[in-house]
Amino acid sequence: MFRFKSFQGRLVFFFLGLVSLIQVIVFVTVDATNLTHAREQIETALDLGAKNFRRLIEARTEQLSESVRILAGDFAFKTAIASGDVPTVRSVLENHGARVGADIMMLVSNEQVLIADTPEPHLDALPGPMQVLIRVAEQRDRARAIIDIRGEPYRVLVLPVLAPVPIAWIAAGFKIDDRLAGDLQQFTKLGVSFLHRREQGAPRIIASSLPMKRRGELTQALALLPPPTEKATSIELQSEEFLILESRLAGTSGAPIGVVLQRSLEEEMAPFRELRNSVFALSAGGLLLSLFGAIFIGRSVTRPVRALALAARRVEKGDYNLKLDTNRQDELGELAVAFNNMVKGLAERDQVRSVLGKVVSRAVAEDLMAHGIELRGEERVVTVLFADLRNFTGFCEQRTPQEVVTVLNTYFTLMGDAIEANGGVIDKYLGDGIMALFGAPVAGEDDAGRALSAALAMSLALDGMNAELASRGLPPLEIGIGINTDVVVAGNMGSSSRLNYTVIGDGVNVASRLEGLTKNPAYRTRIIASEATIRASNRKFVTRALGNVSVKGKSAPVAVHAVSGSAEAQGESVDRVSSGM
Amino acid sequence: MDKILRLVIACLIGVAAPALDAAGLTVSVTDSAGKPVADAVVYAVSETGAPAQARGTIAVLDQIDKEFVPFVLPVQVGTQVRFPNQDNIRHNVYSFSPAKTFSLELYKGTAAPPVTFDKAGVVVMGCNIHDKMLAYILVADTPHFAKTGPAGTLALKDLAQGQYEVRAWHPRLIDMSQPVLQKLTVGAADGKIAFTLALKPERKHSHK
Repeated sequence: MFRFKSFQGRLVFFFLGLVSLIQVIVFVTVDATNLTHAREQIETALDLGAKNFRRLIEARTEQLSESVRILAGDFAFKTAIASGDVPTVRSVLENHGARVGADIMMLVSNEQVLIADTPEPHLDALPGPMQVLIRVAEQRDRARAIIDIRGEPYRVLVLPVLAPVPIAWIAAGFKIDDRLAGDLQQFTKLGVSFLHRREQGAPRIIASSLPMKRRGELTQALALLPPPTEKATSIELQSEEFLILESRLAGTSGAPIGVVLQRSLEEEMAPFRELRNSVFALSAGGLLLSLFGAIFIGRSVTRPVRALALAARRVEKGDYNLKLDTNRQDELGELAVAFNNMVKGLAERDQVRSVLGKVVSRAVAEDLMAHGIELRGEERVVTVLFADLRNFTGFCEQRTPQEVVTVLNTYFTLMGDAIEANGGVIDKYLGDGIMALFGAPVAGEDDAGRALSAALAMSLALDGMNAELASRGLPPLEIGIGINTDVVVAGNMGSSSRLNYTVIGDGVNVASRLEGLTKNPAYRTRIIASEATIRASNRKFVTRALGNVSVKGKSAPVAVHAVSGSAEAQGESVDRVSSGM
Repeated sequence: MDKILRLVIACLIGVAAPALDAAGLTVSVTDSAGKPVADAVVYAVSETGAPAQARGTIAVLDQIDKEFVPFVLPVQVGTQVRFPNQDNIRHNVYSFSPAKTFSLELYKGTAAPPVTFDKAGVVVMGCNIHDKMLAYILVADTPHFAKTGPAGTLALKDLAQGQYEVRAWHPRLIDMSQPVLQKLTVGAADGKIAFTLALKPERKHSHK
């Protein structure tokens, strides 16, 4: 099956296909019905024609018979006949025959001798079949038949001339010729042909209403047909189909005379053909209409769908700056409204996410997005890192605010990068100080180790920055970092309209305190980490024990260590609890 | 009624007055089926004696209710026949028969002159305004003739002894112009003769 690339194509194909199919079915059915109907019509017409035909000939005979009967009763006529003078009798036959419209008149004696006749030249003797006719007329007072006179068929009737017993027999007849066939065609609306059916060879047409050319074709066609069965038969004359009906003319003596009635199927179908043309036009119109309809419906669906798809693709790329038309009342209108709302929602959420990402760390923002805002804390093990610039106030005094902000931003960016590179989260900036968390809001792998790595990275980054500052003729910056690992309370803190994710607890204070310790030049280190952090770390670092310090809020003194490098980086094994001082 | 009466009278005369030197002949006529035939005329022509002519004899063929009465009238050659019209309408009487061709133009009552039938033969008469009117006059060249009644019989009387040709005729004979013949010798005693006639079936329009 052909696959469509578009819904519209499918719709158009389906509609046109359906409409065409229906129309073809209707058309074929109607056409077949019409053809059958036309055939039946012709068959009926032929049957009726055959009956009417006989009646017409009968009526014509009857008409002639009545005229001749009156003629035979005419006393002057009888007197003329009784005169026995042949020329007189012949002239009265001609005169009275013309009066009644007979083609032939004969007067025959009781002894069956031809007294006089009208044909020119005159007949030599009484035609054979006439004797039979007169015998019949003697019995039944009249007789009629189609007989052959000099090879031409005549419908002849015989009546007695009564004076008041039969003194002679008068015969009158009309010729079966083209004129008669033409007359009969006018009545029956059928082609009429009289013919001789011979035992052998083609039938011979005696008279016909058909033009000469057609007669030859009909003769040839009839020669191929089986003998007549009084049933309608289909024949082809010059590739035009005709239905014909052949029947024997009753009361024929001598060679049988048949009559062939015919009608063209083409002519009969003519009104149906007109109908067919109308149906054609209607079909074409319907097809065109359904084509437009299908295109229109298709468009009304595909256009908004295409717009929707386009819009969805733009949204996929992060472009929320669009709005679909929603002036439709249908399902697609609803869809557009829903789509617009969805895009609006997406845009808002994206905005929130991006703003949030700037205000809070990405991890916190994602946690907030994922779990929503919960105003409750939880206890978790967190490694807290405090970093602070040394003597920055002094640095600031000799610089323009612009310079300060630039240097500070560079510093914060470097530190932030170092922290985030190690999976830490910047909790907040405290002036020039930084508070970062490892293990909150999301616990990671080896939070303590990553915090220590971050501190080393920060220290390294600052060295790089100092080199750069020196190249610009600026004094170096110094940093102190304190790290502690402890159980703290973490959570969103504040009011429902404004809050901060942070951690609180002694562990936090300890980290801040350890950062402060780095100011003491005796420790000779930038980084001080608590024993807890060193112990929690899975990584190994170069450390130096600084002994125990008592910290505010902690009853027991805290063991602290200076961290100077990564053990893996130095490639040597270092005792974490090496003695110092 | 009239016919029956005449027949009865004829019979009575025949029985009552036999001639001394003559004999009577009883004739019966039947058709091929053996049924008695009425209106048949039988006449005896002497082979020895000369044909006799009727002189001053008058016969009557009435026209009553658009019918000729009688239907068949036998007469001797030379007889004058009158055609009184008893209807209140006019009639014509015509004949195209070779034995006597004539035409009496339309008339009423007894206005028509008598017609003399001077030739032996069959004369068929009609009325040219009433096709159904039909009558036959058989003109015989002998005084010995009679017509059968419903019983199909008749009697010829006063026949002198000698040779006779007895002829029987009927309008429905196959050939009306040819009577059926029988030769007969009449002696002293009364004789009997029977005819069987081959007749055409009665025509629809024919009389009765």
